[in-house]
Amino acid sequence: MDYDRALFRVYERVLDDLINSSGNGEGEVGVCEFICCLSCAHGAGECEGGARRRWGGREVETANANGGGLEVGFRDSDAGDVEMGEMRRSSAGRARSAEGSEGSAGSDGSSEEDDVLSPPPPPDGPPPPSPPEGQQRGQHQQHLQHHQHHQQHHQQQQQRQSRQRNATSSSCCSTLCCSRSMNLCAFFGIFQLVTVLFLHVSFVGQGKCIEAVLNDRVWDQSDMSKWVNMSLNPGLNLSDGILLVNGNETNLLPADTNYTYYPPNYKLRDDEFLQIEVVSTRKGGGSEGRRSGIYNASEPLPGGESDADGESFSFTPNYIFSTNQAVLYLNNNFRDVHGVRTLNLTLTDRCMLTGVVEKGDSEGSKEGSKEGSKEGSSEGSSSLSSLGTLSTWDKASRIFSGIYGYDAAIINQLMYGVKARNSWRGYSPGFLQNLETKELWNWRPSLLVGLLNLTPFEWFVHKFVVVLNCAISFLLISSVTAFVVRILLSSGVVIMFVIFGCMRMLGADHADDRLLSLSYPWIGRGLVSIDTTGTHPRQHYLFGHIGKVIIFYGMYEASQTVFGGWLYDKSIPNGMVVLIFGLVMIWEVSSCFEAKPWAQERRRDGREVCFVTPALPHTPLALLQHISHNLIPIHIFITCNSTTRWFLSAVLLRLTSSPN
Amino acid sequence: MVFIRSAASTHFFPKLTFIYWCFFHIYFYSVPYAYFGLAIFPLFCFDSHAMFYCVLALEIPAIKKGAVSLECPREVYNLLSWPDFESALPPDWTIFLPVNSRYAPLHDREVENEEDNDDDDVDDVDVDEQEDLVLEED
Repeated sequence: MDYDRALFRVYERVLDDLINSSGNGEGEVGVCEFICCLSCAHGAGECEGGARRRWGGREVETANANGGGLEVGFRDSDAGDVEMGEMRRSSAGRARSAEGSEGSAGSDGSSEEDDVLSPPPPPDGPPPPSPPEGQQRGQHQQHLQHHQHHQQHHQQQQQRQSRQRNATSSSCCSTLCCSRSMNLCAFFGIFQLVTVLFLHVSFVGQGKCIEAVLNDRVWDQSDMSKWVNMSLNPGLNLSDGILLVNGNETNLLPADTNYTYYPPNYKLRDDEFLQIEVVSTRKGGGSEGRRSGIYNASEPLPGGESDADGESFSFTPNYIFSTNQAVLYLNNNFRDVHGVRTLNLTLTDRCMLTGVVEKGDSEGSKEGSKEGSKEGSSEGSSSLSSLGTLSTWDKASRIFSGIYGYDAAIINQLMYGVKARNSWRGYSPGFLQNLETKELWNWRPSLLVGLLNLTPFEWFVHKFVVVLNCAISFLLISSVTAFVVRILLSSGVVIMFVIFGCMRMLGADHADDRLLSLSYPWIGRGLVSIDTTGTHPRQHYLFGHIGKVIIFYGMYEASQTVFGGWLYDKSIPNGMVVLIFGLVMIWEVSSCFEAKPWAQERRRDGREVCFVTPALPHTPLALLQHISHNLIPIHIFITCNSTTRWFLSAVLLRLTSSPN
Repeated sequence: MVFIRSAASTHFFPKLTFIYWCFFHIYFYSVPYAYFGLAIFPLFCFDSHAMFYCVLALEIPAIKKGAVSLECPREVYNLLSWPDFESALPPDWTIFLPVNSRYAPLHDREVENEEDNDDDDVDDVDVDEQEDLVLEED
């Protein structure tokens, strides 16, 4: 019983705050206070502390009273005197407040049916004319009473201020809170933007490191003996196929052919498989002295390789890559049986930044590299004088890449650095997997076709298509999210009727549907009509709304997959589509700008009366607050989104999994 | 739906959001692969900044001015040409309609024939508003 009363009191308070937060400013519980109250950590929607506003030329101080009412006081800017009045709201008071900002409150503080504000008398006003003597005695008594009343209020104010000071540590209801949040968002946004700028300039579109590594180090002597440069050997027969390497025809000859050839540009074969390890050469990173290169191109490392100082290290691949998708999914034994060649690549962040491979760490001259690497050991890598020193920009990028990972850097290295045979301009398709996160990426050469060497007309068409895609994606995603948000708000609240029904079954007789019917009239009216006419059970009506929510939310989840395929048809980070949809849902909950307000019209005597669907924006939030006390609706939606997504994914996985 | 109600916010926030959206997608479509996942966070931060700015700089003045009130929770809205039940949900297709009406607070409305029929107009308004209240309570 008490719990039910408490819930009702909380509900009424939150509803009053909501109404006044978007009302005419009479209650002075502004939007800021509303946001802070929703996110307040206090239970049951209480928001202790106070907030001050200018109202009618005076500073208005609001504070939540323990009794449940909202106390509103006036502070004169000059005198600094405060008188607090008790304001209780009711439906009549709300209706009065709806009349406009001119609906100033009365002065009777004892009435419970009206909004009561008790402004103090003007302290520095002109002196009133002297009344007759018969009235002076009565006025003297009134002044005494008013003085006593003023003293009582002053004591109450002191107590209240002390209570507010105690609650200051947990107070969050202020414009300053929102202002600081706004500044914080701007700061982090700019910081992230600068971070993206650093990383983009340093790593995107760069493939020189892995290209140099492959060209310089992939060839052992036996492999090199198989290749011949036709321009240097014009008398050879081209019997095993022709390969174009930088315009030079080369031919794969039998293994016993002994020619010396150094290919200008290595092209990865379909039966070759890359294992890539990324090491950081920063000081204290534990990887000083590691060099970029290929260590043991065909066999797994038996006892580890040696770094520049002769210390052994183990090769721990972070990524696996192949130009053939099937090869990527084979296990090691199967790859060995089928003669797939495994190349173990080590890439340093320094190499990826500068595009220059550390000198002396080539496959055939490792010993020489050890000596050379000692010279550059102070830099924490095996680089020599040819590498120079990293610029400040590169150092900052190296720090950021250490924080945010090397996925994009590796993808760009492979995308631009690995060339394949018989493909567009040598660019190869690629299939990459991060062995730690199991994340997969793939790309095709056509992605680069549309971005490289464009004519002005092609560039213009490309940019036009980009802008068109922006508009289409904005329209589709925001519209779908707008629909879902509205359905969640309009039909999703039917769950409250079910909860109240369950509460009544458990003995909470005060959990009456009338309260919900007033809060959600679009459902309550239907229930009343069903109860009156008895055309069908009211459960059918409720389950109909629940079914609508389930179906539309399923469609929303499906649209994420479909729109992700339509609009983001390339390899993207895991969860990016979900992040975008979640961001748009926050917009919609915040603004619903795509769906302009749902307004309707009544005409009377030639006047147009604005009439918006009652309580649609307010009461669901009040009920959500009623349930969760301190969760803002955005959190609820995101939680519902993720929970339902995981639930549906688990169900689908269960349904689609084989019995074995 | 919750925090963007004034006319200034309604016209400002969507455009700003669309610009941010375009910046991200131009970046997305212009390179084969880049730091897309990281670029979402500036988008989120700047959009949050725009939300806070709209609330602080545009919504609070609108509330204090009375442009947004319980009588008309949004300053600009779609005005349909036919009446409907008060408790009925508006049709879904209205989300694609551009706003066509703007609510003016009572003090900002022009009073016609103020000199001649001042008292009569006030009485008419009071009667109409009382009827509105009665209908809403019913």
